[in-house]
Parts: sequence; C-alpha cells; structure tokens
Amino acid sequence: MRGYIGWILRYRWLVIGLTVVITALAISQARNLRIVIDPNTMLPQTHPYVATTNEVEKVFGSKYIIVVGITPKSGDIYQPDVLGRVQRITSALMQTPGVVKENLLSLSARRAKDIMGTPDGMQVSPLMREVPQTPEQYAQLKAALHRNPAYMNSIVSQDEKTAAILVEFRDTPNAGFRKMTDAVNRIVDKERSEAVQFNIGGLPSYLSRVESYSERMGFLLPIAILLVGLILFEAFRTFQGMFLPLVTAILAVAWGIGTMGAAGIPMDAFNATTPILILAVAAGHAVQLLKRYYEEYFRILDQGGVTPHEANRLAVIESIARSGPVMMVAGIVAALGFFSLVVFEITTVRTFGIFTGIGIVAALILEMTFIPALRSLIRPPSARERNIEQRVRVWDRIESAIAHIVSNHRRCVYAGAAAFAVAGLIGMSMVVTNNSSKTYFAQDLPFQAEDRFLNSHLGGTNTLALLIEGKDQDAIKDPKVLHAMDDIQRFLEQQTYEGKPAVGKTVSMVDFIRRMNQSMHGDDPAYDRIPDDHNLIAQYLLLYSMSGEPGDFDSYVDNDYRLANMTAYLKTDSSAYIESLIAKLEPYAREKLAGSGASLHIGGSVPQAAALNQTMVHGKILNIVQIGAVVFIISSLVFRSLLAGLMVLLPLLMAVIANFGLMGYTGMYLNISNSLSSAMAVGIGADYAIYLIFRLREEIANGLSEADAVRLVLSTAGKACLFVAVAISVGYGVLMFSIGFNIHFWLASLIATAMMVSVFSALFLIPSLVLTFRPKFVYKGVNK
Amino acid sequence: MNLRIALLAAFMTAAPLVQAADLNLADIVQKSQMVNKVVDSTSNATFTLINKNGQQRVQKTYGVSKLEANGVDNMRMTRFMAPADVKGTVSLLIEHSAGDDDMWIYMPAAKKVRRMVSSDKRTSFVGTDFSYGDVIGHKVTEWNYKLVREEQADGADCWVIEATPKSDKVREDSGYSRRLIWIRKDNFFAIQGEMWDEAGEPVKKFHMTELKEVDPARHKWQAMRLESENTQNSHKTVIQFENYKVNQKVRDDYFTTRYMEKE
Repeated sequence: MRGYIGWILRYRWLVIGLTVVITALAISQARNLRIVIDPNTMLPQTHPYVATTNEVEKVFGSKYIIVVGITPKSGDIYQPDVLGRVQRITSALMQTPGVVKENLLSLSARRAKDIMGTPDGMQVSPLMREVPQTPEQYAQLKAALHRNPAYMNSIVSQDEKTAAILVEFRDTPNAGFRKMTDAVNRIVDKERSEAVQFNIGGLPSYLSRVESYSERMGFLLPIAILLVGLILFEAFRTFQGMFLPLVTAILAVAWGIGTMGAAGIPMDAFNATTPILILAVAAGHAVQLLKRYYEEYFRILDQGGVTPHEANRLAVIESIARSGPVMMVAGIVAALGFFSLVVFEITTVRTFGIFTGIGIVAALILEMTFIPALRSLIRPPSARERNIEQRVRVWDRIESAIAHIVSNHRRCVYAGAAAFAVAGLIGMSMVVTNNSSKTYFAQDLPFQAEDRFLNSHLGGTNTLALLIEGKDQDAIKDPKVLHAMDDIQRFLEQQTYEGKPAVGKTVSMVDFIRRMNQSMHGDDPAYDRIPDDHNLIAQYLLLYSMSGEPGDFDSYVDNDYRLANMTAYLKTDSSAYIESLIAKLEPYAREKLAGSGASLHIGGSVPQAAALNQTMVHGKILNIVQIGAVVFIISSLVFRSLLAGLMVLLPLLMAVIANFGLMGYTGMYLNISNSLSSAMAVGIGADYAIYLIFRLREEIANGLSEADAVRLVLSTAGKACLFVAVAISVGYGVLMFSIGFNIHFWLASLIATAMMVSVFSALFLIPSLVLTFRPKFVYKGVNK
Repeated sequence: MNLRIALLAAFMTAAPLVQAADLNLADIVQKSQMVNKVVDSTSNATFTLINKNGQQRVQKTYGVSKLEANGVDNMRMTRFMAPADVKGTVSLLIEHSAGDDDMWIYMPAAKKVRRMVSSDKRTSFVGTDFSYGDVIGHKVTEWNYKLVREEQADGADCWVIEATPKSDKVREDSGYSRRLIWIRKDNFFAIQGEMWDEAGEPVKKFHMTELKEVDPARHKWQAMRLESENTQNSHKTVIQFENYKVNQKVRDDYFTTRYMEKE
C-alpha cells in the first residue's frame, strides 16, 4: 500500500491530468444522459393493476387527462359566456399537437351525442353543434343533457353550474408534462375573464408540477453543497478541510452521471435527489481520510527530523496506508449493497442502485488517486491552523462525553438504544403507505384548490378502470355480461368514503345501451335497462353506428366487442381506501359475472398507486433488507465474525427504525420518495461503524488501554463521523425551505434524522459493544 | 379540352377567362358526381372497418338501389347478411338532395321498423369513414373550384381540383374546409380525394379502385373497391362490391317499409 501511494505521489501530475481528462470525458458523456420523466418507470410492470392499466390505455386510451372546468360567477352553464368558451377551447384543443382528438370530450365535442327517442324511432345527433342563441335552443340542450345521464358529472356538473372539457394527451413521457399543461394554459388564458372562473386539474397537472418543483434542486443543490462546505470549514478550520471533501463529492457525482450517460442508463426525475447520497457518502470518506492525514502529519512533525514538506508527503502515505483499506471495505460494502438493487423490477429503483453504486466507486477511486496527489501539492497545515484545529471545541466535548458514557455507563447506552428502538418500532407500526401525488404538495397551493374544486363538483379526478374481458368476440353484447356490468356500476355508486359517496360517476357501454333501449321505446323510463336479447343489443349498436361516428364508442369497447372499459371516478385517491374497495368489488364482480365467461381486471390511476404501495410495502422494505443483508454478509466476511456483521448493521438499523418511526409519528406517508430516503439511510449508516471498528482494532493492537483507545478513536475517527453527519444534515436542511413541495421537506427531515441517528448509534454502540463483548476480531492484535 | 384552352388563355390573358375555367371545373365535378349514378343496381358488399390498432370488423350486405325520377337522388335498401347477430337488419335510405334524407331501419330482434333522423350530411355514412356528403355528393353549386394541377394517378390522367366551401354554412354542414379531388379525364370518375376538417387540419383520404364500366350505354362507371381513411384517428373503411349488376328493373316497392319486414 505504501509503495502504491509512493507511486501515485511520484506521478502526481499524471494522476491529476488523468483525473481532469476523465472528468472532462464524464461531463461530455453527461450530455448523452437520457432523462426520463415517465411515471411508468416507478411502476411494477407485472403487477396486475399496472398490467390492466397498460392494457386499458393501449386499447382505449385515457391516462393523461387534463380537466378544464368553467364556472360562471353567476348563473348556470346555459349562457354564451360559458358555452362559447367551451366551444372555442374545444376547437382550439382539436388543433393542438399531442391531443388525442377522438377522445376529447366536452359539450361541443363531436363524440358527445344526444340519443333521443322520437315517436317512431331514435335520433342521434351532436349534443351541441353550435352555441345556442335562443331560449328554445338552451332548453333543447338542457333537455338533451337531462336525458343522457352519461354526460352528467363528467362534462357538466350535477348543479349545472360547471362545464368541463376533458382533454387526453398522447403518452409522450420524454416530452414532459409541462408541454401538456402549457398547451392547455395557453388556450385557457385567452378565455379568462371576470365573468367565469377556470379550474384545471388531472394527473398531468400534478406531474408537470413535480417536474417544475423538482428543478428547484438545480439551485438548492449548490446551496446545500455550500452549506456542507461551510460546516466542514467550521470543523477543520482550513481551506483544505472544506475544499477537498467537496472536490471528491462533486467529482464522484460527475463521474456517476457521466457513466450513466455513456452506458445509456436513463436517469429519471425521481432520482434527482440521488446526487445527495453520493455527495454524503463521498464527503464522508473524504473527511475520514483528511482527519487521519491531519493526525499523521502532526504526529510525524512532532517526532522531529523532517521538513514540513517531507512530513506532508509521509502523512499522505501514512494516512492512506492506514485508512485506505478501511475506506475500501466500507465503500465496497455500500456499493455492493446498492448494486444489488438491480434485481428490482421498478426501473427507478434500479437506476437508484446503479447510480449510487457508481458514485461510491468513483469516490473510492478518487480518494485513492487524485486526492493524495492533490494533497501532496497543497501547502501543509501551519502551526496556527493546527492550534485552531486542536483547540477543544463543541465537537470534542461531544466526543469526550460519549467516551465517558461508553466507558462508565454502558447499561444506560443499551437501555437508551433499546428504548429508542422500541419507540421507533411503535411509530413504524403507524406508518401509512400512500402514493397520492396530491400529497407531494402543500394543500394551500392554488392548483390543489383547483383540483379540489373539480373533484367536489364533478364525478371525481381520480380514476378506477375496470376492464371486462370476455372469452370471445361479441362477448360484451351478451346480456349476461352487460347486466353484470350494470350491477357493478350501481354497486360502485353505492360505496361511501368517510360518510360521503366515494364514486361520483361511472361510465361504460351499459349507459349507452340502456339509453338506446329507452329511446327506442319512446323514452319510456321502464325501458331504461339492458334488453335480454343479444341480437337486439347488436342491432341497437348497428343502428347507432348508422348515425354516429365509427370512433364514438372506442373508449368504451374494443373493435371486437371482446373487451369493455368501465371507468369509475373517485372522490378520493387514498390507496388504502381503494384497496378495501377492491377487496369488496372483486368477489361481487366474480359472482355477477359467474357463468358469463367474462372476467374483471382492475387498473386506473388510484389502483396504480395502490400497486405501488403493495410493491413498496413488500418490495421497498425488502430492498432495505437486501442492502442490509449484503452489508451484514460482507462485513461478517471481512472481519470473519457474525458479531462484526451485526455491529456494522446496528447503526443502520437504528437509522431505518428512526426514519420509519418519524414517518409514523408525524403522519408522513411512506411513498416512493420517502422510501428512497430510507434506502439512503441504509447506505450511509454502515460507513461510520466500519471506520470505528477498524480504528479501535488498530489502537488496541497498538497497546492502548481500552479506555484510552475508546477516547482516542472517538476524538479522531469519531469526530470525523460527526463532522460528516452534521455537515450533510445541515446542508440538506436547506431543502426544508423548498416551500410548498413536500417531497423536499420530507427528504430533508429524513436525511437529517438518518444521519444523526446513525452517527450517534455508531458512536455510542460500537465502542460499547466492543468493550462488552471483547470480540476476537478487535482484540486479535493483542495476542500477538 | 375546353379547359386546357381556357387555362392556356388564362396564362396569357386576364381574369374573365379564369371565370370560364371555373365554370368548366364545376362542370367536371358535376359530371363526376353523375358518372356513378346508375338507373338501378343490385350488389353484394363487404364492409371492413379497421381501427387504429388494425383490428377489423366485417359486415356483409346485399344492397339494391334505384335512381329516383329526378335523376339525382337514390333509393337504397341494404340488408345485412353477417355478422349473425345483425342478420336480417334492413336499412332503407331515401335521399333528398333538397332536404333531410329519410332513413328507416328494420330490426328483426324488435320486429319493428324504426325511423332514424339523420341530422346532417357530415355524419358517418352507416358507420363507415365516409360521410353522407361523401357518398351522396356535395352540392356542386355550393363550392368554389380551382385546378391545382394535372397529374397521373393509378395510371390515368387526372385533374386535381380543389374545392372550398362558398359559405361558413356549407363548411359547417359538410365538415370540410377544403377538398382535393382527383378526377379521371377519360371517364370523369373521382378516384381519389383528400379532405381537411373545419379547423383546416387534414382529416380524410379516399381511394377508389377496380373501376368497371357497369353500363357502357350510358357511360356509367363504378369502383368495386372503395377505401376511406380518417387520418386523425387512423380508422379505416374498405367497401368491396361483388356481383354488381345494373339495369335489373328493380321495382319501386323494394323501397317501402312494408317490404323491409319481409323474411
């Protein structure tokens, strides 16, 4: 190892030059980085809810729907102020690229048809060919809406005071959701006036905000880095102490991004916070090595007989020779843990694992090559700097207090840790998993209020998609199947959530067939039902097709009448509620569809979130367990002791328990973003323990007494751990000020909690356990 | 031929002659609308409706048509033979170029004749990607015509004529803001068309092939294969005629609601 470092120092210019070249290369490759903002990357693709949603989208379309609500300040929708706007916005949207024209729905959309009974037959005509002018025409439109319940609560509110336009966008994830919302806003803005109020909602409206709020990371990250630097400066009181860890961290992030770009691994918006983790881990190792370098430098200088320049060179060699292997172990343990995430099905998790793993490996390489080369060029710390660094400050007081407690009150340490763990576990049991994108933002933001308005006035802005799959062609024309679908719709409409109807609207082919049956019988309400004759149903549909358009039913049945799409609009997007609803719905539907050969599949925006929950509850926890297991196994192998594995695992477990406990106590939801933060906690927690164990072993082997060894280790390696933890916590605390964007707030609180809990767990528990159990892997040097 | 001279003249001289060209273009279009109006016909047809995912729905019909006394409007009776669940359904369409058409449907499952009110010419013709206007013909006098170019299409010399509505009402009623028609110079058959919707976006394409001179004495032609594609939703219709016969002395009582209920 010493020979290797000597070699690095001899060719330091070459090493620095190579690093610059590699970094330049990485930056140039970063331009090839594909940034994917497709929510599908978060979803477990083989989960039945997700598979159904994909199938529904492929056959029927309908995921990215923006809802535009128009409400007059006074009166109902039957006035030119409202209807004129509906018509103009609809026709402008018809000409907007990306809009799925045939699925556009509003009062003036071509596919919105009035099915009306006449004395000797049926008439099918557009609901609103042009904006009504006379009171008679208004009355006609009103009557048409009343006799066609399919449109009530979807494009017209029950109170007839809000008209809505439902515009679907083609799924072009990489173009971004802002493109969709911007297009709608441009059109709507032209129509804004004192007379009417606009409300815009729907999934793209949220996703576009996730995009724009996530971009805050662009300026929050530099502020965070600056704060990390400031804390490090306060800790070391040297320029070097502030600068070098940041260089390692930033270069590691750059290399990570460059490798991702070169390898063609896409980056997604949900990994925008991953650089934080790399930064934290890289800075952590850098600080450990730097701290060791300071120790060695002054030790060598104090021995006398060398110039500061020579002492500097020797200190660089010595610090790496002693701490380098420790760093390699800690880094490889963490990197393998993260790389092991590639077995996961959710793309975003795989990306997270790969990106972090590469970042950590990059940090290791940099610390073993570039940093020693650079450090050998930098002026060594002066006596004045040494005095400042060695002055007893708050960091030292904390460490010596810990050393005192560990040496004299170990029972208190264990009792405290146990109490903390129990409290955390109790909190953990209260964790609620919920992936509602609405919870990502503060409730009082204007677009949240707009969504709430639409949700309460129309059917609901959350969807449940029910796919009825028949055995053969024309299965959907089977009265048995249609009756069952009808029953399922009525069943859904009776469901309640918190005392209020949960489903504001259901729509399917059933509504149109019932409507045709009634209109073919002179609008007699007794015929508002599904006929019992398959052929009659087929003939109604043929009849309809003769005055409708070929695509009118495309969003309800497939071409072969083998698949039918039922949509239920839900008032709530609580995935916990939807799971309980599905649990009731599935047996009900099975019973109703029994003997028809048809089956029900469930998808839609809310079930997809539920699917995400299920994979997260099982998968994400598994994912943390997996990293933990890898850490445990490798640590056990390195120290050849299961106890060592457990000791390394412990601070990391405490951090995870603390994070989940915090979620439980504060009501913070377990969602994709927060579970990623918890996985980060696992990755960071192991490092502290590994550094402490190695250093304890080294000092005990040097012949120090147990108490002295503990004191020394805590005041050196321990202090470095504390520097890092505080720097990262404070640095990321800056995200708490990302107003309105809960994702950032959660991230800041979880990272800070994880950092603090894992560092203090390591500082208290590792020395305590070593002193209590006197494990062989620490004491083996003593025997020699 | 007049047209070429007129065009040649138009290039060299001034406006009045362009008007002459206009007149002739309208004439050509008028002729193209008459060229497939046979005295009467019987035929089997297969309607293939293809959606954007390429899935097909096939309907087979037997149809009888007869030209009304005014020589413009047709009476059309269509009996569905397949699929089985609509077999025996009969539609009767009496065109009224002057006003709304009359349409009746006989549904065997209900054993009743029902009257359909077809509200406008822009809606789909019996569920196909052709509109009523496309099938029955847009009123020649309501459109302005312009010769865009002359070119070969399907191996025949064609005029490519652009038609634009003379009024907003015509545009709204037809659903088109612009039409391009390829009319064969030899027999005046419109073999291709492209349509733009009211918003000015391309919406449809037609293609008529397998042309047959079904009544040589009267110079009547019919395409045995008609294709229409809605380019906005990628929906497509193919109509294939078989056993197309004309001058069958079809009786008027075929086109009564009484007759529809038979068998």
